[in-house]
Amino acid sequence: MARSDKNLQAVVLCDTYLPRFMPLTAHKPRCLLPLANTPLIEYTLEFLVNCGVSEVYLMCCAHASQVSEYIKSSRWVSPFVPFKVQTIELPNTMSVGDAMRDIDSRGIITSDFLLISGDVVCNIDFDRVWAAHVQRKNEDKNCIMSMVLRKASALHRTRSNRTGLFVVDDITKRLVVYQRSILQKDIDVDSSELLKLTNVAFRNDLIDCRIDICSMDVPALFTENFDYEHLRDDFVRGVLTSDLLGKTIYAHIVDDGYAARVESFKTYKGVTKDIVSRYSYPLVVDSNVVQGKSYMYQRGHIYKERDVVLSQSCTIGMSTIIGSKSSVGDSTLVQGSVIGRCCAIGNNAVVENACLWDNVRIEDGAQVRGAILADNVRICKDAVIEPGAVIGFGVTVEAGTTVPQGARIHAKNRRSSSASAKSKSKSESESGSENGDESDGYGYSDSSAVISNSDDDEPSDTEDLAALVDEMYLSDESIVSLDHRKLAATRKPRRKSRTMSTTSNFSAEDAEDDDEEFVKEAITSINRSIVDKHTQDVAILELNTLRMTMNAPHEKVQEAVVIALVSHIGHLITQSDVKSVTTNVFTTWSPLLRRITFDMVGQTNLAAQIENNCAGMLQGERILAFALMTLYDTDVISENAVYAWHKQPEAGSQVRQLVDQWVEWLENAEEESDDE
Amino acid sequence: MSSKGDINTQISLFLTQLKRRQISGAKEVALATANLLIRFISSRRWVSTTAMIEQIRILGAKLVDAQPYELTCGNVIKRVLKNIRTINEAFAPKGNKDTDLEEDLNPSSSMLGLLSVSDSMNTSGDGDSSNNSSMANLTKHKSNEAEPGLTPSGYYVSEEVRAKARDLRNAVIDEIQSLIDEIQNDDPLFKAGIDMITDSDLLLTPCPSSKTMVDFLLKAAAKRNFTVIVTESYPNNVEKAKKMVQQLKNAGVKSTLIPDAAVFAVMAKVSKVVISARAVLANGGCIASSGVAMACHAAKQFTKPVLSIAGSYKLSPIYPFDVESLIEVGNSSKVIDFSDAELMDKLEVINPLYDYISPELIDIVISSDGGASPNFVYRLILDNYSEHDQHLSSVEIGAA
Amino acid sequence: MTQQLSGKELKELKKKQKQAQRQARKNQAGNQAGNQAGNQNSNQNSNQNSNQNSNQNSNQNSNSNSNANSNSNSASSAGNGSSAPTSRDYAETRAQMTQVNLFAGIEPPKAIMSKLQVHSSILHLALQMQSCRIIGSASRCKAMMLAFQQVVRDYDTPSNGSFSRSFASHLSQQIEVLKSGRGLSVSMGNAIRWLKQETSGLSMDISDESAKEYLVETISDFIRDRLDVADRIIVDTASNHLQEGDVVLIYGSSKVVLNTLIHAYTVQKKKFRVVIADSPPLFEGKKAARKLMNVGIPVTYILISALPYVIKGITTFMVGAHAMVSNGNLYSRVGTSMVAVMAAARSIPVLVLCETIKFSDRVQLDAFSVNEFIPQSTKGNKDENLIFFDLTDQKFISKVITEVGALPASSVPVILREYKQFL
Repeated sequence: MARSDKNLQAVVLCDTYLPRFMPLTAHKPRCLLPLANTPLIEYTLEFLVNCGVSEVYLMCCAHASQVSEYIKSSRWVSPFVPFKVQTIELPNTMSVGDAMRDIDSRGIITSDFLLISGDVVCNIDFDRVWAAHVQRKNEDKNCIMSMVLRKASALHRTRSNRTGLFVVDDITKRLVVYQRSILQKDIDVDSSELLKLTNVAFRNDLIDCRIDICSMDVPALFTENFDYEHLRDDFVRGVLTSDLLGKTIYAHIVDDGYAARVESFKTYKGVTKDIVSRYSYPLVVDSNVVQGKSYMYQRGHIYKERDVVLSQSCTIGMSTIIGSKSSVGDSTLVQGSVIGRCCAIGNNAVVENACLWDNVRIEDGAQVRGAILADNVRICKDAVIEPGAVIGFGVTVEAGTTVPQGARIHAKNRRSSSASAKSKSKSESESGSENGDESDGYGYSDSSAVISNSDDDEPSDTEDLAALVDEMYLSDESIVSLDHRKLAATRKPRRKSRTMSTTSNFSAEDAEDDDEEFVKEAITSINRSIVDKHTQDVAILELNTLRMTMNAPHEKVQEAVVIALVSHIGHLITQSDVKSVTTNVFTTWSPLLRRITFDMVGQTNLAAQIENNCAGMLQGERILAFALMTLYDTDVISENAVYAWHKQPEAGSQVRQLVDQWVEWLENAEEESDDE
Repeated sequence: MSSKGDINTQISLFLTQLKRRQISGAKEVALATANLLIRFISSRRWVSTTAMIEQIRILGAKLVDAQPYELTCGNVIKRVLKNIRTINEAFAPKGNKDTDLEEDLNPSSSMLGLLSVSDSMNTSGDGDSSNNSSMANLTKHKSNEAEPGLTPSGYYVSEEVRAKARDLRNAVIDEIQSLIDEIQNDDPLFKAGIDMITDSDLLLTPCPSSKTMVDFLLKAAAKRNFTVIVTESYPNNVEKAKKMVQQLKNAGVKSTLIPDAAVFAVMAKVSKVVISARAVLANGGCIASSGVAMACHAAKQFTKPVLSIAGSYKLSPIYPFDVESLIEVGNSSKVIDFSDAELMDKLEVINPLYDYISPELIDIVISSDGGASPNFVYRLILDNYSEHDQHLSSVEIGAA
Repeated sequence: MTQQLSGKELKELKKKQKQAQRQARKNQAGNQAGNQAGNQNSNQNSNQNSNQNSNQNSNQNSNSNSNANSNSNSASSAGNGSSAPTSRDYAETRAQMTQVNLFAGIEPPKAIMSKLQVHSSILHLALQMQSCRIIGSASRCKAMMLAFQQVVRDYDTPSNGSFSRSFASHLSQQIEVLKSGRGLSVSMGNAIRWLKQETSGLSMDISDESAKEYLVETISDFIRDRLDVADRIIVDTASNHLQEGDVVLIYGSSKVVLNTLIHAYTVQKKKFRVVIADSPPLFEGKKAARKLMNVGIPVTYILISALPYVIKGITTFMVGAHAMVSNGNLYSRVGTSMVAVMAAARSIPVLVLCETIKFSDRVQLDAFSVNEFIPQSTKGNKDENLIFFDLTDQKFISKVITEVGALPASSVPVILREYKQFL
């Protein structure tokens, strides 16, 4: 109870700015998606009650108004709730980083606070976590964050396969390295750092439940580093890799209690199962904490609300939830499923391991296995929905059709009306239109556009492949925000090919794709180096590693470096004048540039790259001029290369005026020296 | 009026605390319920016992729905209702009184009863209990339906009746207060229990989670010299079991811990089995923590006596038609560790928290009023509760 | 009756406690005088007995002289460690006074005896058994027989003796070492008796080589007939007792029971469910669960205390045996009797699957007279009475399924007597 006087604040990030729950999140904010018939946010808020929090700030972006509405009409505004809930609508934020900067600018945080994702299901004893955090802070003044990680195992049903690798000092529990997700095979660890420690644990078995106790420095750091987008990939990595900052992050690994996060369809199903089979007790369905629920528990983990109509001959199997006013017809089998309110399931149907939200109608003989059906979905007679399918709001699946594994179906006209989730909607466009082509988006039958489902060749593990596809989107998104128009332009065509399967036969197209991929990775890598002030050796090493692994040509390396540097300059010139910034940046990075530029062609190419990037930029011509001058001065580019480049036709942009003068001067000077 | 808002908040808070299992344990819930009732009754002006009974029944149905497994909550409410009925009888003029006990309890025979329209107690609580979203409904319901023709200020209520109502309120609160005292005071219970234990007894208790049990054994140890075997009660109460043995040892009582599986093996040496019930049901059966039923079965095989100790607030007028619905199923991760991905994914795991012990396995039920045979429990229950209050709501667990 | 008993017991207890105290005081005095030596001694001891139930022993050790100094262990280390030994000592004696020794007659596990003549495979086996790495009566028996085969092969007859004579004493030494790790199971005892008989029956005339060959071969036959084939016959018989839609309760992880279930599910294609009841500290049920899960049998997993809740739908209780004693009672993993009683109370058939090698001609009434302690290394709480086995009365057993047929438990002595020449 020592918490009551500490006045703990909690910031709930309702949005992850990732399109993982598309198409469902096109209509509903993700924190209101029902999990075991209760909106996700309820679980998080319940946990906050147990934490003894006194103020809660909900940071919402997509469908923010829906969240506000929901909270306003919920029990969380009643006087007996131990904390005040405040919804902060942030329609213009593009990332978690933006939300954090917003928090900083509002100045609402007064002390160490709890930063939590709006999709957490957790029953751990927070007092212990808090006490441990306080103790750590006493021992280590630089501790700015304790993150709660639940011990699980690598292939746990509740563990997202996007969870990173944590390298933890086993004695102090200080986080040494954070490595993002499975897609990267190598981990880059500063071995000198590890050698200092006697006991180091590489943990790939943890559930990152996104419950962090943060100091006030955390939002401030986001403001300082305005390119931080993600909490883990940018911020945590940033803090850990920065020597100058000197801040530390600790991992609080719990091995009792339940802590998980609903971050993808895989974990959605996993957490649902956990709740149904009572691993999250006392956060179980029949505790009826949310107003108006009346679930009763029956042997075999069956939960039924009042007014459920079950036919005499139907079979209700183990681990099933059935909401109020739902009915199940004759000889129907319902098993391992969650059924919302007012659902009607006909005769001889099969519903196995599926999640049905409210008002779903399943007609006679239909079979639904392992799928998620959103509100008002109608599955007509004898249709078959295969595992992993997700069917969006109001879709009707026509009689006798088969929805293949992993398909995402979506009603077209409804989503266009609410395309508020800016950047996200892009990535979902094709899944939305797949179905829309045929029957005004409300019907789905076999003859309609093929659902692109690259996982066909490996149907055994659709879950993971679906996750992989999601992962691709993730990496896309993280690039979008880097704000390179060039990149955005080149990215478009790639969108078309959704063949991001794990097959390894490389076609030309694939190679091209890889180059793009490389450029993006390289940019991120350089940006990191800039932000974290890595030495150039490290940066070079990173670039080379990337180049090797992705088999990219040298031009691409140059391209990436130039893009990164120029954009960096672009960020800086608002603060000081162009000349000094450009000169500065290019002087500092000239060694690197020298090492990636080998011959005349390379030098010419480099100049061209800079030109391309300066085109269209504010003060682009000045940047170009000063950049070339600096490179010339530092002997990265030879005179001849400058001439060669200058002879090339202008790329159509008007950035050469200043350079022209300089080249002219250069030529003259040469003549003069020749004269002498 | 602000006080009314206050009480509604308190009720809502209590409801959510029950649902979150923040308040748990028979005694704690009983005390919290009694205290809430005091606040509830003192927060308003009552003009008739019927209305009071009606309101308390509605409140009770909500509380019971919130945590159907904590039977003491319902018990306290039903006890209070019975008390109100008795008080009502006392307030009634002597002349009206019928000799039949049944009639006495009927509020319509009382003086205050004539203010209310009719005795509608048996149904009105039911429809409302489904809608427990806000306590505001409760007040609305009250002024709209429960007291037709009566405004809270009571235009045509005479001053004399009002005085009576005040007296009534105070009398009821006094009764609840003494009920609280009774719940808190385990001494009579212990005294009756100690008589059952003799020197050099070898006691087995499968209830390490019960505080009453620890207190009882410590108290008994002052007078008797016996040995205690405590079962581990894995997985839900292992820590408590270890603590209990330590506590007993610290008090100089010879004690030891055995795994649950060894209960049958050691039963031959045991001289008595002592259990602490969470609730004693109308048929004399008990609800106790998981593992107790097995110990009682084993005791029966060796014809060892089983003593069930339970404060009288644990006597519950419910008949266990559906035993399973009285047993809460707890946290699965205590049985299979959450991090064991393979097992937790494929196994169905059940971790019931309680056991039902049928009356034929129990020899003596010791309550605050002394010992009784399980067959006699129904009579004790009849003393404590009115038959009108057997069910507070239609969906009450175990009453189906 | 019980009171008398417990009174007597109490007296005994007190006597033992007094003895223990005296011993402790003596030891302490000794330690203070010859500090260094005493320390080392006790250290060694504590190493040796690291996984021993030291508190548990302290009472009974005092009258069994062989282990007397392990008793000093706790007392002396407490005395040496602290600067104020008296208060500690007091706490210690008080702890002893409140100690209850339910299984006073049972020997606690000891350190493995090491002998010059011991064969490495036997030592290895002894360690594996002590740590419960090899567990289960039949598995232990089989492992022992295989080790004996190795012993036979590697045995060199001393120059002055004949094979059959000298080998018998060599064998006894091996058995002694094996015994020191963990007490012999009934099946092992039976097998050893058989082997000794075989050895002594060897003709004096045959050469060492052919004698060895004969023994190795006959051991192989023994394993095949008495264990492997017996198991197969039991599996065949028992799986016929299962029916479509059954809910089978099992307790522990008996190999023959699991094989029966797997056979019925995968070969006979019967659809049924299994409920596994488990108990700490061994959690053998988890092992069983994994095996059954892997072939796809739906499994419900509970702890033994949850049995009353789950028992409602159960149709059969199937259990393996450590031994069947000749008065018809089942000697099996602790908890079996509890489950059997619960099942019998609901008229659920209790089937015991037991090879005849596990039949013992001793009689036993309760779990106190003959038993073992579970080695503490698995999970250490010295205050728990972690016994290995308990005794299930024959009245709770519906049927014993053996390789010679299914019979009522009361027929165990009949089998023992009638089939003596074959078994």
